[in-house]
Amino acid sequence: MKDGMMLWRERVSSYWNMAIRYLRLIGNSGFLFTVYVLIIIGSYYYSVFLDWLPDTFPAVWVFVAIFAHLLTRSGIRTFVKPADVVFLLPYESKLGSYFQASKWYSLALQSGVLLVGLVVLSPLFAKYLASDVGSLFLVLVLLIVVKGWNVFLSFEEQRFQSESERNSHFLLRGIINIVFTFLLFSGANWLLLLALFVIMAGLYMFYYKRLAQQLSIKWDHLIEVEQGMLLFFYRIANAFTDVPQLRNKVRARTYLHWIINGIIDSKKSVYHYLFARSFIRANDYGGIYIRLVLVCAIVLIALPSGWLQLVVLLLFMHMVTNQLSTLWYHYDTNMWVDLYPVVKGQKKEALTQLAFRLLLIMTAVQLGVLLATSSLAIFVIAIAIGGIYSYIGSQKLIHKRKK
Amino acid sequence: MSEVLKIEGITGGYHPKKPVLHDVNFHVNKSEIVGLIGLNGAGKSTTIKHILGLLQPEKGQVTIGGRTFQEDVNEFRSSYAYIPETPILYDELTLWEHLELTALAYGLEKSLFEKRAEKLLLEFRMKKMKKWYPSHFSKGMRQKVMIMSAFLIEPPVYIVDEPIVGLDPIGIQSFLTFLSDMKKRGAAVLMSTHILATAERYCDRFVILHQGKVVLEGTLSEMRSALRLPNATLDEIYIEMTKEELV
Repeated sequence: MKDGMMLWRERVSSYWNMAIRYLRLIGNSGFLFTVYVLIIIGSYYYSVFLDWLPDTFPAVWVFVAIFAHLLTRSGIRTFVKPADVVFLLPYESKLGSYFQASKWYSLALQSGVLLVGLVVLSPLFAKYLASDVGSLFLVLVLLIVVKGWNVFLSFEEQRFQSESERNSHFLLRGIINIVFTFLLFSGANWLLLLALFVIMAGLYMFYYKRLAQQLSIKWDHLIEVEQGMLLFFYRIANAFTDVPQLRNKVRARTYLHWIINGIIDSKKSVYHYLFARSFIRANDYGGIYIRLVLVCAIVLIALPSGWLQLVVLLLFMHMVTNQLSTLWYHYDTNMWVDLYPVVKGQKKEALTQLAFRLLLIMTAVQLGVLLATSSLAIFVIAIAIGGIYSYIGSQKLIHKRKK
Repeated sequence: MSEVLKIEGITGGYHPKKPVLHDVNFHVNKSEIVGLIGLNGAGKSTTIKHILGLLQPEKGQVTIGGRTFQEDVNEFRSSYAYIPETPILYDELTLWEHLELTALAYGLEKSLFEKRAEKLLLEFRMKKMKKWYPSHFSKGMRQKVMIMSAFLIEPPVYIVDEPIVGLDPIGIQSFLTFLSDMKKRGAAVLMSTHILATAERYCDRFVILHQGKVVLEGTLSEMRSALRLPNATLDEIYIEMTKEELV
């Protein structure tokens, strides 16, 4: 029989093989370009925003909120699979090294997140906190140490059967993390920090270690958590490309049914019928559309009135078009659509109609935002841009990638 | 008798170099149920895919009512209903919407559709599940959705692939009653199955397929006399014809 470490390596590498393929797809998609542009625009306004911030700004509390949150939320990637309940149970006692590895793995990844967070916030840190706290590097080291503590405790917490017990321990860690981050970022006396570390170590040694001995591993819960994390990754990847693992997720979304006949002549042809329903219920076509429309509106509100708003509007409409174009492939594995006696151009026509109307609705929403936040000239140009793009996007661009 | 579905000298398969079917010939008449019988891998599903127009033959042609797939795709496609071996459903459509979609695809009028659909729901005891999504269906229920969609159209030709596995006894009964009913009204049915006892009772003629070739065809008595086994059951004929496999 394989040992725990071997199994661990196998699982991690198969996960990353899968993940890298998706990451490559994300890298290759035009979508990323949009994100770059948003980052560049964002970083410019970030510095403007920093200059504008008053000197009395309570930066400490921003850091406390963000980092206490990042520290407390220490989910463990265990890479367990549903079938493990059947096949790995008899093997549980030999899986010590497996779970140990998963803790270190989670620590490494989440430390990376802490690092990114700290880098993003470093201008804020330099402006408000550096004089009191000192070196950013030291802050990072301390954050990672406490992250380690959180990860190890979080793993033992998962042994509890009931949700309420897990929550109360989560809360306990949360409070300790708030105290820690406050002491850290307010530049408190080192002795106070040291005292807190002693308490944390004691908690681990005398309470959590005992928990680990008393309580068994709750497989079902671990699997559920793991599936949730996997789904989270798929969701992100799904924003850029089609993820087959998400394909089977269907939600009724009864509250959206009025759209089916409102947006598209659903009784006009097979494809009109199918696209309307798939858009609402399958994968996350509808969800992504709504999210993109909302994010676009928020960005437009945040930006000062000007031509940049038009660029952003165009970028988001482009993203929506890209997302909708994946609907085309939704029935590729279903033979019924090949058997129906339907006229050839109908599929194209149906997708065009759906996309055109959805893009127009999006334009209408954004025009509302622009009317309230921007100048009349921008509003008028946006009408033209939105209308023209809706037409070109749904007639031409959406069909571009097809063979 | 008029030949509705005609398979003429079909040679074909998935790769041009490796044909699965070799010069397959048979036909199905109006008001007739023909059983397509053969071992796993004999070429039944491949034959059906050729008939449906999902595969293109290397040689030979399939005609329905004298027309080939190439001549008029839509006319050809709207003249048959297909019940697949494993139910294929849209995860995001309810049972009723599957029927509605089928009606839309085949251009069925609304009033006619509703009349037929309600009758089918009642007959197959699926009225309660009208608004359900496929994820809540058992294998048998999924199969019933396929069957109901097929009977909804009432086309001149039915291509049925192993229809009754997984159905409950009442479901089987309803299916066979409907099928006989359609036959009486003039439909041509090609049914692939392994359940020979049922085939023996309901099929008028048989086509035995073995290693991609038609090895025997005819009514039960014709086949009996061809093999000189006057009292043989369909099972025995079938085993006799596929015997060499064992050697």
